Amino acid sequence: MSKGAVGARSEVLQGTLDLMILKTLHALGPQHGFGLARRIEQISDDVLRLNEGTVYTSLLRLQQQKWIASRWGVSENNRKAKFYSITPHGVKQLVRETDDWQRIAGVIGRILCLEREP
Amino acid sequence: MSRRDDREFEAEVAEHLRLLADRYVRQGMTLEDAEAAARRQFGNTTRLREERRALQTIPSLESVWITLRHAARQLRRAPLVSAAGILTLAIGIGACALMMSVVSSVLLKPLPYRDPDRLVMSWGWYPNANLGFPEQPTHGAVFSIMRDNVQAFESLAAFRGASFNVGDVIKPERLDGIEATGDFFTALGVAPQIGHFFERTNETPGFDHVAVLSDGVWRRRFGGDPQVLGRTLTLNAEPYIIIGVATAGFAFPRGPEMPGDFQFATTPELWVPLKPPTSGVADLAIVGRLRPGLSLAAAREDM
Repeated sequence: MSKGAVGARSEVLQGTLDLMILKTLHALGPQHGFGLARRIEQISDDVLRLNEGTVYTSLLRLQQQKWIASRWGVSENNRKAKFYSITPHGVKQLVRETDDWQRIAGVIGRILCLEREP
Repeated sequence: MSRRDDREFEAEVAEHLRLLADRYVRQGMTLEDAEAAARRQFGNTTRLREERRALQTIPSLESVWITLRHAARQLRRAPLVSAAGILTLAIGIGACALMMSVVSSVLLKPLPYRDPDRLVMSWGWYPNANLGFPEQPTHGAVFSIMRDNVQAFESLAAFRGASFNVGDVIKPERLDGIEATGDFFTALGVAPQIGHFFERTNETPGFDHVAVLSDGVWRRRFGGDPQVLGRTLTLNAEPYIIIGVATAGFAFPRGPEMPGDFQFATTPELWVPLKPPTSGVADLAIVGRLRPGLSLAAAREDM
């Protein structure tokens, strides 16, 4: 993984995507990959621009952590689709990460404020 | 990793590409162009397969927390990462959206403020978390980022409730008030009855021990005496200089008019400056004045 500023940005975005998926599944119930991409695109165009397939990497990672589960079902178009849903472990993780994020936002806020001092 | 998993994954990807292409066809593209556009939007499938393989052969040690902490360190080294990007992250993670409502639709009484339809309040929107109310307070760090980066507002302020022990030899009492960032009164567009309101400069330590009184407190406690300006008031054992008095009609925020989880008293009795906190819990309400000519929809876009 590259260590430059671009690498940092993609790391942040990948971690962000994991969290956005957890959040979306928690808020909106089970979704398939395409549906998740559409919802996340609404929140933040940046994260998925020209790289929508990366949703599936996040989904795999989240499944490995047992924060989400999957099962095949039928989509709104009457086609076979894999639906993902958040698990109780996933909900706990979401709460933890949200708390952690607020703390990080504090750090970042401080950093940005420091940059502005004369 | 089984062959069935592989087949299922390929089926998922194929379906996703198909749905993307369908959208483009509906927009008028030929099937060929649509499929190419779909592949572009989806990104590199070969790399996707590689990433998938990597995840399944090497146990993933990175938690999101570690990723974000590392990113915070990277940001310190590369501060030119756009703050707007951080704002997007904050909004994307912290709430489904930062909702805004025109203040006039929230408040019960007519507003004595300049151009009241330009006033909006903003809060984190958590409709599905079991928090009691969907409108939730904002963290100081998020407010600071908003203030520095969101172009849609001509002025923006954060505020929270505070209770003050007024220590005074003659008449000790407890007053319910508001801590607010510098542009609070500017955003609301109100003028003081006497004296001045505080400003951005009053957020700085050393300049922040000033207080604005409500008309009610001024009459009750100081007999409506204009000489109150410049006098010291002891609040929570600290000296504050009274710099102004609000008009009789002014009482923002009124507790009953604010959404559920913002804990405000029925009527504020004094206002003191607040420097946006960088740590701690999210406990701020936000009010702002939209730039002239900007619609609420456009401001939401900007956020």
